[in-house]
Amino acid sequence: MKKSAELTKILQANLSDVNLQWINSKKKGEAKDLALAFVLAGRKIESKEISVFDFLQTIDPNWNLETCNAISLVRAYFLVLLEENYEKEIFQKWINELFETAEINESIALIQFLSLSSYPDIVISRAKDAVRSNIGSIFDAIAFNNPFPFNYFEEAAWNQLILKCIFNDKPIHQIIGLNERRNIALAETLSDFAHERWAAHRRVPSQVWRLVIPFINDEIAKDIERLFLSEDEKDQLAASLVCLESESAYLKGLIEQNSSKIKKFEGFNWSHLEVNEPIYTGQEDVSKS
Amino acid sequence: MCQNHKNPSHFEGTEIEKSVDLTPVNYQSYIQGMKFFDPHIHMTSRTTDDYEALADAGIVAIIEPAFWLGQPRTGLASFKDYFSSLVGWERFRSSQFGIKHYCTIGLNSREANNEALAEEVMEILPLYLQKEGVVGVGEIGFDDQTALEEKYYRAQIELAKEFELPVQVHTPHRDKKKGTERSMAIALEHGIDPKMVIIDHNNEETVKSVLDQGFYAAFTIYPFTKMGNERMVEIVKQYGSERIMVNSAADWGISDPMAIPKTAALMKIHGISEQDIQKVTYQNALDAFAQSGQIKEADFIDGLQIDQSQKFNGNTVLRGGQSPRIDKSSIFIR
Ligand SMILES: [Zn+2]
Repeated sequence: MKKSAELTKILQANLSDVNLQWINSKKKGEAKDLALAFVLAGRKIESKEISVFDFLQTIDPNWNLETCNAISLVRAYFLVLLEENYEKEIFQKWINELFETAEINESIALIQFLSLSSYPDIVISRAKDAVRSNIGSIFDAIAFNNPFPFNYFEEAAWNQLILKCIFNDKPIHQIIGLNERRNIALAETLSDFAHERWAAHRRVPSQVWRLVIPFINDEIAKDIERLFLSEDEKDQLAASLVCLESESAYLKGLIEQNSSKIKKFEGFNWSHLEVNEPIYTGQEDVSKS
Repeated sequence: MCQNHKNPSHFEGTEIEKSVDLTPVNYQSYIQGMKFFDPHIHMTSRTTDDYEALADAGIVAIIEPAFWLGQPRTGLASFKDYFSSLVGWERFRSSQFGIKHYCTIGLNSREANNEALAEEVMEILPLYLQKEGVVGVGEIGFDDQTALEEKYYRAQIELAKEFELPVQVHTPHRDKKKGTERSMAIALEHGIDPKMVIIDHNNEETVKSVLDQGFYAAFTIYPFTKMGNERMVEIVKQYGSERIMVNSAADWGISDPMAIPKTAALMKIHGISEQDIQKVTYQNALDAFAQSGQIKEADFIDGLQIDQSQKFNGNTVLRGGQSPRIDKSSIFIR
């Protein structure tokens, strides 16, 4: 079944008659009309949460999003129509125009659509632009619960996404494919990053260390040692989990030395570290003491 | 023409009148708990310090009209990027300080004089005018009162009618009275309901006619220009609060983003009722631009609400939320 037909079923089950009539009045339009309908959806469609889980799973089993907003889904529908009904060049022209003129909610809808697109080659540069965005919700739209980076980003772009996430105190565990795309370059960069943070008396969110597990070397083993010595229990837990999940010879000694700590965390896993851990603390104010 | 040594604003010409600082009081104490709506302010030209001050003074929502940047643009792309920044980056910047940001989109009068470029801009306006949070066509109108200015003013009034949007009309500084009358006559000629039109930058000479003909009358409180806030107090005393609103029009010139809270405080000191103050510093602007169907007071009146339509990507994402405050008294920067 065409994507547009599947989307139509979801829309029919969830939207009001007034909204459906409006969509019907627009769906057979020229490419320009579909692009304008994408914009206008923000004014015409009633904002509400609707379930999309089954639909997204048929597109990509990694998609773990359960609900989305009706406006975004209607927008995705018009983009799918633009893609199904017109030549690639025409689709390209209008998708570019929409990205270049988008307000924030439109940007988010465009980015969420990316994984529905049959032309990842056309849209990948837009996905990377979203990673560069300083607008939090636009960055979030590409980073979290979106399978596009996992499926299409090359290693350098993938690593940028992860690093920017950590830098901005964002929850990396909501990135699809986090474990599957671990790589040595990322592990080494994270180790360097941790050294910088520590030198500045700042910390690194403990769950970040799950990314180094397959790539323990001498240097990273020293980082893990430091985590065991940290006063923060979250760091000790992270060190313990790394030791339990790694087969690296570099960690043998550490495991023996810290066996009691590791035992203490029996039954814990990474999900216990999936919390907000600001790396920029700076709460204490010396000037006032 | 004699240009003064300071930056003129984006709407004024050259006449400068120094006002004497007569405000030794802490004006903030007069406006505790009040909420304000500035329907004309150019935040792209302002710093985060201004955003902080606006939020502290009780400004909960603002409208940023599209205007010229102090020098002419040379191509369509810079118009496009500017319009996009009004619905994108600036909207985000404002949200970080808990202030709801709307905008009006239009071809400003000065740049209407570049016909080739103006034609291209007119082409892309419909795309922007149909976006969320675009609450009007603006600021448009006359500057030098040329034929081209008139042509694009008329064309944009038609766009406003087509998309059922209010119009924010910039009136010229030079030959203001005639320019204002002409702006209104043209609007009426196009059959637009005067209550959909906000005539901006009024003064004592123009206000009566604007109100009598059923338009909204906006007043720009801007230092060194003809409209100071002491005179604004007199205008509200004389004309009441019906369809009158004040704004700061703060921009890249020497202007004051605190114009509304300061004017509200001055009105309070001069015994104007809180109800009238609320109308001219909040409610009338809200009512006028809410005619666009794009303003929901509930989105900002009790603090900025997270936009529900941004939840496509799940609702457990930690939002950046509002910016952390910097302790400016501290010597340490962290
Ligand atoms: Zn202005």
